[in-house]
Amino acid sequence: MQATESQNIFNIREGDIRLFEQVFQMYCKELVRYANTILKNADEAEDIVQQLFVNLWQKRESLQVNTSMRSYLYRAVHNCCLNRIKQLSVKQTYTTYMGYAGEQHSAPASAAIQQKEVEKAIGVAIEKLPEQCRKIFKLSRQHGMRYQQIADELNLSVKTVENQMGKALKHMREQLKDYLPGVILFFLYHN
Amino acid sequence: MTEDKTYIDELIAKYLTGEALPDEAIELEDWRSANAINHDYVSKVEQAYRITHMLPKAKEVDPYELFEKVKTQITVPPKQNALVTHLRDYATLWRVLAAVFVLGLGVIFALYFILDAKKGLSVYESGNGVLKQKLADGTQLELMANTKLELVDSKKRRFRLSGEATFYVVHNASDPFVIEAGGIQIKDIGTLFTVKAIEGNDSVHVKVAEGIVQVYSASDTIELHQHQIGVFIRSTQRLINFSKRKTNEKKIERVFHFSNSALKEAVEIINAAYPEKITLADRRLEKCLITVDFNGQPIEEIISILAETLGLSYDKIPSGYRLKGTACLP
Repeated sequence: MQATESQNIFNIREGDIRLFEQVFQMYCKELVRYANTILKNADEAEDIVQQLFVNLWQKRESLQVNTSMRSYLYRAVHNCCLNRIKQLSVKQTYTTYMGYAGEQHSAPASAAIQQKEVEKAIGVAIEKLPEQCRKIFKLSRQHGMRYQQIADELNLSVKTVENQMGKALKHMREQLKDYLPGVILFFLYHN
Repeated sequence: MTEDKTYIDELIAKYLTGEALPDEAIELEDWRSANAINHDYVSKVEQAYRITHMLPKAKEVDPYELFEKVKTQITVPPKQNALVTHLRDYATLWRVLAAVFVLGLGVIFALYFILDAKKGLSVYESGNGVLKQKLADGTQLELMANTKLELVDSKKRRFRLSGEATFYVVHNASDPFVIEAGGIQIKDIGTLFTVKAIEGNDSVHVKVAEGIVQVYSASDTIELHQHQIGVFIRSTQRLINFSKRKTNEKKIERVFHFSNSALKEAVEIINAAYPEKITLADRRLEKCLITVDFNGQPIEEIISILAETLGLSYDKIPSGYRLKGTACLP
């Protein structure tokens, strides 16, 4: 850990609210982004980061950071998210995702047509994936399965799932590139 | 950082699916913020992931608004109360005397800083002219017209800038020289550099003449070396390093996203990345607003797109191109 960072941690322990705010401003966006990848819920992600900093301030006198402040915060967010997932069942979380898709019925006709086109393109792109890659991607997409669950289901190693998911997403990015600028419009009706 | 593409694709997939461990997430954030091409690549994969997995568009986080929510849930102890609490802990008289001694020193320091502020050292304003100033630590400042530099922490070398200024900083590792300007923080590492943060402009520019500076936005960090220029686009919150040290990085610098940006800002950013310069025939054109993306096109194509988008025309001149016309004037 750099000398200036240990000084910063010392100052936060001593109650330097201004410095605490600077640390918050510096890392909050990327921490919320990270929490959102785990929770798949932007509001929950914001709450986790917000509560983390509230706890951090309240327990600042016993704050012990052995790595960098950034690593410390990422680990804390990761642990908080895993605890949160324990509280919410995966099924409930997935229902929340699907809730967004359910709102599509209220979208204007033009958006519905565009959505159908995108869905068709997704289907075509998935079918172009090699067989094993396609199976893995479908389990992630349709069942919200985690890497370990997919590995268990298909009797593969987690490393293979990691590798195939990397390839699948790269393939989807290339196959759907013509539709990506339209994503913003597509999701306007889902928020 | 491993630059293997397969590894990066796996890392992105792990991150998006929520499988990334903290260190992996940090590694990806660092790779994403290294340059505009990486940023764009991750964004595109993220968009593809979101549509295939039926996830909503990522919500834009406002760090200031979020911190206001944190503030409502925390208590900031007044300094006097903290002092009383500490006094209660002292068991012996000599400790109390030591505390009084330290307090006395504190009062002397406080008086020093109050008097310092009264001498007018905490705010520098250039007015209509250029103000040159040497600070007590030897740091030299040159403030361009209509610039204000404010000391925001009397105990540290921390300033807030509005306008344009050049700093020749005397480096002190234990007391870094930090400038807050238009949504970013700039920290010197032994440096001569210029910061341009004009109120109302969409971009903040940091140009390093000597040494190294670190520039932080709410979500990104870049390090600028000699002859490098960093630009922070306020509307998109993007922090870009326009490196001029390596010729093979030139393409990387030429990915721009302008969203309702003033033409003046767009031209400045493009000019920083190409040897041929774009100039405006009429200063009123500076205020024209432009929304357009460029992904490494040659300057001839960029000038053509700018002209067509804004209903203008252009001439080839020895230094580059000159945009002219009036169609986009507000």
